[in-house]
Amino acid sequence: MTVSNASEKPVSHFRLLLWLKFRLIWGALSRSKFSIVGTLISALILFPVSIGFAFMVYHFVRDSPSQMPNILKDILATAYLFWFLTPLLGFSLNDSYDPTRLFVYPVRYTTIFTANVVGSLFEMSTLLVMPVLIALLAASVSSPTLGVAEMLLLLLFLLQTIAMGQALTLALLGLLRSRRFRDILIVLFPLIALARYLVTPRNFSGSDLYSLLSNPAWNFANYFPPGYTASAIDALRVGDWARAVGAASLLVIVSILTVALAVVLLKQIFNGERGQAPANVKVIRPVARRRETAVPGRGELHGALIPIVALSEKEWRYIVRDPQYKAMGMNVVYILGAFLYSFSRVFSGREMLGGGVVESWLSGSLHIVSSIGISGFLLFGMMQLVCNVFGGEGPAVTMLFSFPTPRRWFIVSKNIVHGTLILLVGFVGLGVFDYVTDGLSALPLSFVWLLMSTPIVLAAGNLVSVQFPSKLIVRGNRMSSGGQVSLGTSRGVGCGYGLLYLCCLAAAVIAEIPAAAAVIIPSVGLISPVWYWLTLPLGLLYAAFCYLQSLKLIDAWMITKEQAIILKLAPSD
Amino acid sequence: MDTYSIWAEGLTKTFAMSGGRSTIAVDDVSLHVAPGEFYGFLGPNGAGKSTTIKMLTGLLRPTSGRVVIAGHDLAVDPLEIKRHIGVLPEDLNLYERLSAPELLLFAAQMYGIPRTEAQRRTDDLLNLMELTETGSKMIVDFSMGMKKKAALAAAMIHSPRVLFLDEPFNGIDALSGRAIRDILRTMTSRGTTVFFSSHVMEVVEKLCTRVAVIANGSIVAEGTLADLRKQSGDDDASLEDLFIRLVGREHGGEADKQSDDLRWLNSEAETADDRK
Repeated sequence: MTVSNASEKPVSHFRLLLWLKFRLIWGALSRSKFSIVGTLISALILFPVSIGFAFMVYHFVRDSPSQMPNILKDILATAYLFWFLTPLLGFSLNDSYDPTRLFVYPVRYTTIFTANVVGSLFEMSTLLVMPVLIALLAASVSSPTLGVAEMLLLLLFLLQTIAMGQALTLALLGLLRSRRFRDILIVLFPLIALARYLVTPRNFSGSDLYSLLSNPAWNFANYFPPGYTASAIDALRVGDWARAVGAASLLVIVSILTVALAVVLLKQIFNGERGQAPANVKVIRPVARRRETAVPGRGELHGALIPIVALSEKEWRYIVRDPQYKAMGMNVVYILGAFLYSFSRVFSGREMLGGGVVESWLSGSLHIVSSIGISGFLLFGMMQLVCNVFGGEGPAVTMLFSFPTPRRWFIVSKNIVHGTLILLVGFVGLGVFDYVTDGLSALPLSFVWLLMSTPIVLAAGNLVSVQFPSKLIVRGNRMSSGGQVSLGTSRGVGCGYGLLYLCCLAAAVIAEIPAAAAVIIPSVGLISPVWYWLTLPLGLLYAAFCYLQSLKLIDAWMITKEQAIILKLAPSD
Repeated sequence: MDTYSIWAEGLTKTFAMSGGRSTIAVDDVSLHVAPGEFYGFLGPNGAGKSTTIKMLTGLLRPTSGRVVIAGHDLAVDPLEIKRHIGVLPEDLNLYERLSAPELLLFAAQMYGIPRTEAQRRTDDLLNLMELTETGSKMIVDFSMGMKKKAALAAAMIHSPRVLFLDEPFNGIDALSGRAIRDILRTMTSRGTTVFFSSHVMEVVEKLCTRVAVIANGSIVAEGTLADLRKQSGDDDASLEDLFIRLVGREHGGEADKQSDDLRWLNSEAETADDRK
């Protein structure tokens, strides 16, 4: 038995809370070897980038003092948004953003607040912006007295921002804890990742930088603490004391009000005066009461069709409701959009090839070849769904496998839904492509190609799904029960599965060669297009053969793989 | 073995661990449960209850041993067995993005029940479980008790011959608990076998016709409550007393030693009172 030393002083709550903050931040970053490596790489990249950016800002301000007010305001506004959005976006990933977890302990709410504010100073989001703020300070200071004054203003700004983040978190606790918010996040993270590609400027020049800095959109910051802080620092720099005192006073007042608001909200929740029910309470529509007599409906399904239809309905509902599928859908639309754009450009530039054999060959077959290319990229975008048909089930796979349905019907039902989706997206994509490139005459053939290639890819995906099941991973986020997102272990695992899916696609491409030949050979003039009457039905028969063969293999494999799939998707504690 | 609803012989499950080691979760368990029995399966945490149920229901392949349910060999005809059993797993594992009516309708149809009949059964079970008012609310937004009721309803919807229930009353309120107990009793009186694991001794004592106690992966006792009392030589012992004796938590001076070690609990409480 451990006997505590009576003279030993207990650790102060403040120190304990700071330790907890560090531990939780580190815990979120180091859940596995993969995430530790990921964190180290991020730190090795992000901190030098931050320091490099700080040097750039320093020299830019030194060389163009006239830009000082703009750059100050813009950077502070960006930091403001970054800092107070971090706790909101990270709420479901990092327990340290939820102060109410500490309410069961005998700690004062003021201690919780203070520890949270101080702890926030050491967060990655704060540390990354710090070098830039220091650079701004160093570039704008002309005397030690002014330096101290500017530093105080920046510290006050920092306090206000962190307090604002706290107040917002506390005010939105119900929403942040809700399933709906987690769902939004699952879609939001990939959206941010995709937006990065879209907004990354190409051929960015110096004049672009000046116009970006002086863009009127930044003026919104004038009405918020970043604007007051920037104005006060700029006024100090140019000796406009009246403006400096005015802006600094505004910052002080807003900071006091923000801190007071955060503390009051915390106190109210601490004392149980504020409800924490999820904000997304919906009006519930009760289902119809029991029907006394069951009247068989017309066209009632029988036999194998009953479970197939039930499972297809369930799969469709999941695709509509589950945010993981929405996030995956965004990837597909992005990939499709990017390749439609690229292929359209290639197509519009074909006249540059000049006359001759190549030009004539292209004019006859480019639409078909492009359609095959686009559908290939579309299928690549959907490999996560196609090659992991059980992945979206998660732990519910236990329930699925407890039904007495022949296992091939599970696969068939999922393929019906996934195949329909692929065909729908593909038809729209190819329709848009053929319309934009003025090749609508090739549309029927493109559609036949899609009908031919989809079962082959589904067949390849089915085999991979049974042999290599995994939990669904959407852009580095592994989803678990209830839509909880977890980061970390998924990164390395996700890469492995990405490679596997790529191999699967390569195998599918090889398997598709006969089908592609059925579409391409008559279109390039090697044989008369009349032969389509033979090649296309043969191609479709070949696709059906591939699909049925995959089902036959799966029937044999499932006998031994069923329990392994359950263990993979619903591991026991 | 065909006369039993559940017949298992030499059921063993070994899990591979890191470093080439292995651990035996269930060790040579044999069970024989007759039709219409309400069979209690008791054991402390980690004793192997859930692993045994998973093996009996075909969700986990045994390392060795044989299972026959409702006259069908699990190794030979697992789908036929699944047609006749209902399962409530400990961790539920539901389709949480469906509403309760959608889940029940889905489950019924997966057992091949036509839609109209499936709808009627869904309505009945929703009423029984007091889930009618949940309407279109998704299961992911349910409380634990509501989730359990939905899972239980899904396990019962095809009127199974054998019902495997892993901790069915955890998180369920008293009213619903009574209603579920009544329906389970009715089902057993009509020939359904209920294989039931629980920590709640009172419920097991009230419901079960026979009980097996598992500890460290092995069955340490089996029989009616009267049999167990007879074995222990204490005719007045409660099931809880018998259970604690059987799993070896009450022997020698261990309890006294534990009390000694935890004396600080009282002294701390006294100190807190003094502070007041």
